[in-house]
Amino acid sequence: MASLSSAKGFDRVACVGLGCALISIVGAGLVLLARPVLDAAGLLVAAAGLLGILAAALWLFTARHAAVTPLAAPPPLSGGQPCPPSDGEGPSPLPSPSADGEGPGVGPPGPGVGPDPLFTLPATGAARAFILAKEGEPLARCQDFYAADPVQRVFAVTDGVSTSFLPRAWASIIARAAVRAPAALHEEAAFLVWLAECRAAWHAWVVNRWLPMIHAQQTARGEVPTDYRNLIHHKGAQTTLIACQVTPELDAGVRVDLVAVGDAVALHARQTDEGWALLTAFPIADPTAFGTQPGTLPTSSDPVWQARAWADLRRMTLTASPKDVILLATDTLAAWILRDPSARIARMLALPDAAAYATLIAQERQSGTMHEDDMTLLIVPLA
Amino acid sequence: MTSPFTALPLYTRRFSRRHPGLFVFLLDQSRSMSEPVAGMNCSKADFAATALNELIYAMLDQTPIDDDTGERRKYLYVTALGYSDEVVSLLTPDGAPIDLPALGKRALGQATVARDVYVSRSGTYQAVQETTRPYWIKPSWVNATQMDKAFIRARDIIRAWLDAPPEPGQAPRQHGFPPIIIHITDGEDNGVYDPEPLTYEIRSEGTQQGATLIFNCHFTATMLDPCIFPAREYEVSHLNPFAAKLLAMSSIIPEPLLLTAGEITGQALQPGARGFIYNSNAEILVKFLNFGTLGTGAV
Repeated sequence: MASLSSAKGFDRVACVGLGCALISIVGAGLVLLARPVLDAAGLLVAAAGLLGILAAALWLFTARHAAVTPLAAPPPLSGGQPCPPSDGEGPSPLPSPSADGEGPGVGPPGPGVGPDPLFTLPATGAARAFILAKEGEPLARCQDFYAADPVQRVFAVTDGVSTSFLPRAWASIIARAAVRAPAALHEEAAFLVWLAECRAAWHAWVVNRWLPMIHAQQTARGEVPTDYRNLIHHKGAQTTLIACQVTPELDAGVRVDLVAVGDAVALHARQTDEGWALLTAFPIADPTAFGTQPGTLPTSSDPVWQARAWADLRRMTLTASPKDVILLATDTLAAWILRDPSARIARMLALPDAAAYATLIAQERQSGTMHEDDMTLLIVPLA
Repeated sequence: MTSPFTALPLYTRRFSRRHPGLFVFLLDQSRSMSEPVAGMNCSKADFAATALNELIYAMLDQTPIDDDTGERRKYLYVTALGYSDEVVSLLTPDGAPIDLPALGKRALGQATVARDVYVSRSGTYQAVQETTRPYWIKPSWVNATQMDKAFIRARDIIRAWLDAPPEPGQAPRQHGFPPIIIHITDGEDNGVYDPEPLTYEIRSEGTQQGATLIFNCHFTATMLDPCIFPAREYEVSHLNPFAAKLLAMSSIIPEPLLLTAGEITGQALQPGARGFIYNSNAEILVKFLNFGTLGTGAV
């Protein structure tokens, strides 16, 4: 917005300049009428007026141009608006719905274009979101992401594969796309089109946003810009996904459609007389079953990878009570919950805020019950 | 099994910016390495240097790139020592460990390599794709095999690295995953002293996360009878006169890594399996030690 205000200031100055130039022209005309022959003074006044018009026009053009270029190109598939930069440190606060429907951004600013809207954490409505990076890492380096459409009641959590290339952006793109078009995840042809669109969005972000930023840094350091083509086109990014869509049923029940790729998990919990009970864990229910090579959604356009992604996609539909809760969690947190589900689901649901979440995670890491990893949790009430 | 200083179970700390790890490579460069490897049109020295370059490349390839800088993250430090009757540093002038991102920028050049591609029709692998790979180590061979000197130097480098003050943003190195020695040899040691006791000494030291690990890659000119992560001496004693000794010099694979190792090899490993591979691809060790996936939770 600073750039826009500045541009409007330029407009005002230009208008004053234009007015002065017009007055000069009118003055020159009057001089011309008053004298039978144009003398040197009238010529000078007329020339000054013409120069004033040219200067004002140039000023206007510059001001208009300045009003356009500082704004970032629209983010692929984001739908978010630029927002004030976050310091990127510590756990994210719970994103409460705001006027523009967006929470705080957590991404580093690009080269003069402000915070990256791709990393703006979305509002989640009645759902509560907790996200925390690995120990000692700022949130801006967290490779998990989440997205939500509180109106359509679609929610997603993603976990970018740390050894892949630029997984954070991919995790954001996939989470947002899963929420925007959940139907695409139920049929192979639609899924492949959906994945291709996501891939195009990731490539656009890398080429239009990330590469210029990194190459500018390298050039400023006097280095030869690195060639990332092999990493972009051959290695690419990967992420896991867990998504849920909540639909009220006519019989006062709730239908929950779950989609998973990899080892991010949905936990269906219900409060009973004995406390919270885990009814279903999907797609992994055994805490010892979290392996090292989960299924993923890749940016690779290799047909083998594409086919594998579809083969790795799991779906499940639950019938739930409006009083139930769905927890969407990334792998390490899910494994931890599944080792003592009743007690740990209760602890998760009782969390008052992000600080409490960070404290809990730190304590569990210190006690050795939880490994270092990015930890993301989305608590979705079904009421 | 937990660390005496923290409740974090042994060998479960993942490599990270805060807790970087150290790899020490020991490469046999003695005269016996000049022998040709059967069916591979190269010498043992060529094979060993290629294996080590592949190891370094695989580690570099698996090191995440920082979104903010475009640089590889400083998750690992490495050093490589070549030995015959002398020990020479292969990556840095004095043998001091170098962080992997810096090493990535100091390749000696690019080599063209053929990649094996699986052909489903014939059920075989064919070297059909060629690609370029950076390399850091050149093959070399000279004189005797004084393995003891290499382990002494490795021990001293590890001690110095663990005692060094951490860089900004890093935790004390005693808090991290213990150092790992990967030793590539044809096993024909003829040094003055027996290296086996030295490996016991090295394995008695380490960090709060566990003792230093030693993995041996043993290969012969025949490249026959591959054996991966054996547990008992009788599994290897018939293979080669030096195999049993190198097995004894290898660390028992820590329990938290057994599952990962089993996933890599495609079969469950028995408790007591050691970090020893015979006539096999050294890259399997890096897959096994995949620093992004140590412990529970893959990504």
